[in-house]
Amino acid sequence: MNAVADFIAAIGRAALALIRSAGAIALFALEGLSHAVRPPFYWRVFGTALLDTGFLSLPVVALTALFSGGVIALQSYTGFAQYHAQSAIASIVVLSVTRELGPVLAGLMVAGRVGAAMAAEIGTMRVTDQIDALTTLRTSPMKYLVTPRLLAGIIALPLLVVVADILGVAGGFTVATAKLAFSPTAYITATMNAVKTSDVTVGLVKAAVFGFLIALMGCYHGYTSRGGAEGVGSATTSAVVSASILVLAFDYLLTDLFFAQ
Amino acid sequence: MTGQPPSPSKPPKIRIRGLYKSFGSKHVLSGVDLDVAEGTSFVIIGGSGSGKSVLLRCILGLITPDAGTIEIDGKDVLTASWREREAIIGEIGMLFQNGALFDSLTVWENVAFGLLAPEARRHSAAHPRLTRAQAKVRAGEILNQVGLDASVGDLSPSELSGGMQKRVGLARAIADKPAILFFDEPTTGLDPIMGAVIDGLIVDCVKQMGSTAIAITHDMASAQRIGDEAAMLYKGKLVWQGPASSLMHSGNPLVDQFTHGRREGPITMELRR
Repeated sequence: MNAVADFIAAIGRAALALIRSAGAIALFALEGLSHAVRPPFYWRVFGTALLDTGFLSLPVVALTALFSGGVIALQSYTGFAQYHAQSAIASIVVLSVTRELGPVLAGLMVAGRVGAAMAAEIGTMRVTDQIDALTTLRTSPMKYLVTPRLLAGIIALPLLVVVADILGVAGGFTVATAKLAFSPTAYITATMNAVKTSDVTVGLVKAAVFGFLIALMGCYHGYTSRGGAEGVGSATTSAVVSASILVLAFDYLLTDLFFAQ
Repeated sequence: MTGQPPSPSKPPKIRIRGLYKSFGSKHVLSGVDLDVAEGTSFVIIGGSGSGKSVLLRCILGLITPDAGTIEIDGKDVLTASWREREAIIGEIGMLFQNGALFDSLTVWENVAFGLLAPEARRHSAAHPRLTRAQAKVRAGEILNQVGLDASVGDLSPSELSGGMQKRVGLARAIADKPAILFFDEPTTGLDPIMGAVIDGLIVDCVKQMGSTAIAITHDMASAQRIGDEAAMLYKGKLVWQGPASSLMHSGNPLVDQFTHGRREGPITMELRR
């Protein structure tokens, strides 16, 4: 009987801790966003964050999208050839890339690269008193460290996904025309016929949400890190893991919201 | 160091009454009462974990105490509005134990941070808004004041030695000519000569600006060089207060044991825990 009670109590404690964390993250996000509409705004920090999140993530996102588009074309051909449905490959590639793979792969890549870097940088600032030093210099740490990064995430991810969409389709096109003997004109025509504006825009909306979540997790885990180098290490791991899970969870929710009939 | 003698009619610059702070079951501050007169250099000594840093962080508003009052110029920091609090903190400069320099900025940007931060300044005739070029020149002047060449300003903090980082931290703390200066273990991790250099710079800066200073340290030589007044924090309470010059012969067994570094004495049980 005691064991059952202990088990239930443990579940209850875990649930309460989860709710507490969710509440703390929500308040952190609200405070971070609220500074975006309250001057002053740190344009220099924002510019650096935009460069780090967007431009410097370009190679990894571009390569991932290029190869993923090629793999989808190859895999689709292998399966669809059995049913003489090879003509659907262009549609499959463009819809997969714009609706799902572009935003999700870019999100996961940026979570690994940028989310970790944000958590490590802010976490190190926390454990070396740099965040307290900001306060003593009459600078709000939330306004200086968090708000520019959140906005950079929201803006940079959709831009990266535009590039990912183009390169993903280009990867599929290259494999289809060079390896699977598709006609370039026919492939491009099929692609243009299959894709709708809404496919691309929903992908970009997803990207903006993912960018926000990645920056939020990086900033939150860094900002709340404790206990020296070990604490910073844990914060970095937590930022990447939680951002990756949230990207996939919100991908499902947004897909359900926009595409479910 | 000689500060201005406090006027008996003048209220203290900093007045703390009944300050309590606990972290879980650990009582760090257990009713601290402290008065620091304007222009005085006050040193707080105490062992590791005695609550010195927590006391300083409570005054700065970085930690919220459980109970008590902290008044600066007669205004209660804890009940002050956000604007009032911002104004009070604007009068304080802080040198952190490890310097706490911003890694992502150059040395001159660190020194001029408070001069450039848009929300930091209420720009006035006394504190005009500076351009980055003007701030860089000003940072160079402040670096000279702490014995560093202005060319150091273009380096990254990671390229500096520990002593140079402390000096840059001091330059950042005094850049805005604050009325109150806090020093958290200013000589920790430095060799004795560099420690004396930093102490000398602190004394010079405090004298030149006429600031009120609070330093926490467990370096006795440093405490005597910096301080006019001194107090010892033990188990969350101030157990002794007097002139810094009498630290080594205070007559208080706790202070005597601490200042002479004796193993035997009333603090023995604490050490064995």
